Amino acid sequence: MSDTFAPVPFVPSRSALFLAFLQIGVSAFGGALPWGRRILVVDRKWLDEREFAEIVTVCQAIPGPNMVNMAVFVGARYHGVLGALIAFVGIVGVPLVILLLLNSVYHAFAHLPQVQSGMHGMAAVATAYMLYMSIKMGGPFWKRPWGLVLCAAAAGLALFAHWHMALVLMVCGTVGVVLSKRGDL
Amino acid sequence: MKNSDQLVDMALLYFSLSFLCIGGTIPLVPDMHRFFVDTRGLMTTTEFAGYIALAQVAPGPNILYIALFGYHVAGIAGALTALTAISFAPFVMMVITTRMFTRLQQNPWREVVLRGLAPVTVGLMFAGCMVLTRGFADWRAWALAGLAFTVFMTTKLHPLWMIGAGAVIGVAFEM
Repeated sequence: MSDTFAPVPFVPSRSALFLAFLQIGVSAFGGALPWGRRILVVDRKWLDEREFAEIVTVCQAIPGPNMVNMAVFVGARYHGVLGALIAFVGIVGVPLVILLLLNSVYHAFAHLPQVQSGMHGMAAVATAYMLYMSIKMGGPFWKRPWGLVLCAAAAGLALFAHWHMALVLMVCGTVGVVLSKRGDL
Repeated sequence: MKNSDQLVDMALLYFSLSFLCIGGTIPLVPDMHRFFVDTRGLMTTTEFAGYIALAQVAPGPNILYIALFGYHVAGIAGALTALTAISFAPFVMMVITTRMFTRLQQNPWREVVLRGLAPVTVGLMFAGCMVLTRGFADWRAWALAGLAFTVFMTTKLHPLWMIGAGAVIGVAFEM
């Protein structure tokens, strides 16, 4: 043994990886990202604040929900494809079981008018929450006239012209990227 | 149509949508609603919106309502198929990304593309919200949604409390 104390890069075991993302999945109510930060940065210290923020920006550029993408990223970084699968199953598995159980309880009582009424109320609030989230997500483009036009065009084409999402993304997305390159967004 | 055919079609739908779900899966709601409600008649708009609401009260990343749609169509196999198919492209792309993280991170186009796509994804999310309002039974649902929206915009109250309150209000007013 030499007398140097070069820090060994820390690699969490596969089971630690699984448990960390299981914990994130089970704790995450209404958005998993804050829990990801708390568990990966504050509690486990696998990532520091800057790394976490950098990974989030990259996760946003890839399709898929941010926290699931981050699970795949962190899993793959430590244990390759197997690690990515472990982290994915960790964050999705137990919540999926909980949700399916909740769903079967709901269906067992769905014939009751009270349960139907309650579900109508929940659905109305969930719709409002989606609207709120989309406004929060908007970012700086709200202040740009072209941003508003593009947003309205995408909504209108999907809603009234019944365009498929792929077509909306291709057409409006191209316009958006050109506008953004010119500094209009 | 046989259940197995629905399962294959659903898998193809989610496989193709998995390449497009930039900004999460909520911008996909209009496309999913068209498949499950308008074209196939597999569920009503109320059921569709109900599954999204149910997933909000359970823990976990917010793609799990997609598993509920799958479960509605073909049970456990449907849930797993939907979830696997929607996760395909993100999973593969993220695994590749780990190898070229710094290059992607420093690429100036990343910011340009994200900025250009933001209004489009938000527009699609709006369209999704409008699609869900088709399930509103009467003006009381609109009033409740308006009230909830105001609360979300003006307070930092956790959405779970509001959804719970929505359930109570729904029962109390026999919505």
